Amino acid sequence: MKTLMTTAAPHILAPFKTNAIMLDVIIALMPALIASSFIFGPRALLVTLVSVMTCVVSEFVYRKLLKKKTTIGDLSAVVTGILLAFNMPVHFPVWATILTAAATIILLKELFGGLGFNLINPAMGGRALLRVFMVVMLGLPIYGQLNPRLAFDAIGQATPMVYQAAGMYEIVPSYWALFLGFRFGTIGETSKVALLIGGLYLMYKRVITWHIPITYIGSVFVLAFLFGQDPLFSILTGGIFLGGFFMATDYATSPMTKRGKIIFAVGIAVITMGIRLFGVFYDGIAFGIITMNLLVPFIEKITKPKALGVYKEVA
Amino acid sequence: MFNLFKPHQIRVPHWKHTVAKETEQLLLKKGTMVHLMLSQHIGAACEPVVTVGDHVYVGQIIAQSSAFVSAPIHASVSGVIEVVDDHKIIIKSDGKGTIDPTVEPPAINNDDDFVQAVKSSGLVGLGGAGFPTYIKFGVKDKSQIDTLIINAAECEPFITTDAREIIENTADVLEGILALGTHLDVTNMIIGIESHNKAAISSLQKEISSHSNYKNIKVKILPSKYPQGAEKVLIQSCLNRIVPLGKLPSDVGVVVSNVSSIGFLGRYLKTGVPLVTRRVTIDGGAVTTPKNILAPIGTLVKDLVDCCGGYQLPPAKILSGGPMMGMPLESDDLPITKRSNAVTIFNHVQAVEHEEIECIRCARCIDVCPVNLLPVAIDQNVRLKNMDELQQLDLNACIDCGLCSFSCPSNRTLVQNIRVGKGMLRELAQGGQA
Repeated sequence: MKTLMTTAAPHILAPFKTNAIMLDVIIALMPALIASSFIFGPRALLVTLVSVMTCVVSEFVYRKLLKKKTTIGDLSAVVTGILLAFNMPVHFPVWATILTAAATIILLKELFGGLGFNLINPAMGGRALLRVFMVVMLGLPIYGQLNPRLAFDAIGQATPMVYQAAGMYEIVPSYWALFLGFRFGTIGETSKVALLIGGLYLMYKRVITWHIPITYIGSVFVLAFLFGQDPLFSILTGGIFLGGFFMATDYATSPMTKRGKIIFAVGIAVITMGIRLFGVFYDGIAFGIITMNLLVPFIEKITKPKALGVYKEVA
Repeated sequence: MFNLFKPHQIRVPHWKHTVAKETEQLLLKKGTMVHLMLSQHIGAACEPVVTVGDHVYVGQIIAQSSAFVSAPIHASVSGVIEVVDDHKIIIKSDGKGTIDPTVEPPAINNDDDFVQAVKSSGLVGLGGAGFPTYIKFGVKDKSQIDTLIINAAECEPFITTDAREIIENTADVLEGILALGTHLDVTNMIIGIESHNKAAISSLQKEISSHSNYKNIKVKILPSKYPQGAEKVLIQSCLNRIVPLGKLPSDVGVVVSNVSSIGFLGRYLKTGVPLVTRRVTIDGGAVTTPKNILAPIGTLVKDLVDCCGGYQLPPAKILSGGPMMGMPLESDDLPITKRSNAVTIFNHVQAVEHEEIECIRCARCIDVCPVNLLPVAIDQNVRLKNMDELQQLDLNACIDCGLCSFSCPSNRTLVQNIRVGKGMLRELAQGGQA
């Protein structure tokens, strides 16, 4: 008889692996990608493709140079690439896309040790990089123009939230236009219906649980109502759905405990609305998520669940 | 079911291929050896009371111990003692299976007689835990016990010994429950069984409804969800009571016994034949015809495999027990013990070494843990040897079910490292005392 294997129990493993999870996230992002190519035109696909390729190549090259194990097979770089592109305006220059994507993977993911070790969500950090450097320093616009063939005339050049800030409520797009995504914005954030389909798919596949997205979107709704804003308008604008379903739920940068997820989501909502109401940026979701990302170790510490049958005080 | 709000549902497969097959009785041919290990269970090993060349009958005591946590070992075949050493006694079967003529049903007049009889029977927990049963049944203060739970959950994949015991020996099981219930003076008797066990459930319900003296015995149908059969989980599912960490079921008023143990008890009280055989599920991709075998304790794994038509594919991993919690064996030349409820034999496709990748913090291990631990945090702190953190993480609540490792998409050795961590904490505690 050949030598038998004697590794310890359990001897069977569930067939669901890390790359299957990432593939599910990619599938869940497809409706939004398709919607954006209608809303903003086919260039949305080009920007996404460039971003994905840059992310994958940067990760591959970085790990090769440092003689680390190749990890592009886990598909997480593809997810980051898509999410990052979703935060770019449709006419974002190719060179700027490549620069942002490479910086995102190397500075925000790989320098921390790669998948699972990054402190802040790379795509969200990339969104902040975009906003602060590309827009402020290089003067590139944040939001893309609509596909000219769609001919939506009631909407001006700025984002819906800019109208609101200026008190120009009469030209604000309808709820339906917002829900379907026919408004200015970044590639992936506008079509709420597409993001919702993807988000529900992730919940159905148990890739994410309800705790973060539902708590986050719900909290934004309630906070908007309390501060005299239009709650429906508040959740349908900006990156609330993209952030809530796809960015705040990033495993590496969100709490693992259930109570922790809820505290985390409420925190992001408070910061998002704080920036929207009192800050200089129109949309605070990137800063909300990044700030709460950094608090995750602390949140996990205070939300450690009580083991079955343990009655001592939890520190 | 279509429910978006349920946490991660990671199902352990059932693979109960042998549930509808009649148990086959294995009669060992003349000259076959049985190896009775002197350590059959948790607790003290036994001392041999026979010497080489002695002739023994089935049911004759061949080793015993005066230690509290122990159970005597009886000859499982009739024949001649071939080997006696520090670890085992080997008997060469004469092929007759003659039962010791002095075997008679135990005379029970009081509680002490009952406990003593259970002790003499050599019974240990047949569900795999192997704890000497008489200790459980001999609770000091019976007034604190109000419920008897019979564990028929059998949540491990492949294993169907408990299901077959219920289907084939329904009366023995119910008589055993009644006898134990009477001894413990409880009226609340619950059989906890997983919902997929339809045939066993209907056998029980039919037998209970046709005899009025079984009216206090309830069949509690539990969700088919691993690790339903873990004692703490079972008590929670049946009674919604939580056993405090470091305490026993009796501290919450419960005695739990495995259904195969209770079926044996029912037979033993009638016949007096001690624990000399047990039902073993032989399954796994390397076995030609998976089946349940009623085998003498000490039968070698290879003899059991022969009884199942031999290997259809070369064995790559042999487990004493099921695939979730079983212990790997080094060869098929080893015997089954009183604890062996199954031998699972994997072929090369099933026995795979999974490459571990980095944790992605998906929290599946936390969501599936039946005792609310943070397996990922324990794993990290074990790897970092961070003892201060480890002491905060309640490792000793871990029931070793392995669901965390099973569910991990990155193939991380979570439960394995929890075991390592338990050892590290034990060492720390001992070092502190010295």
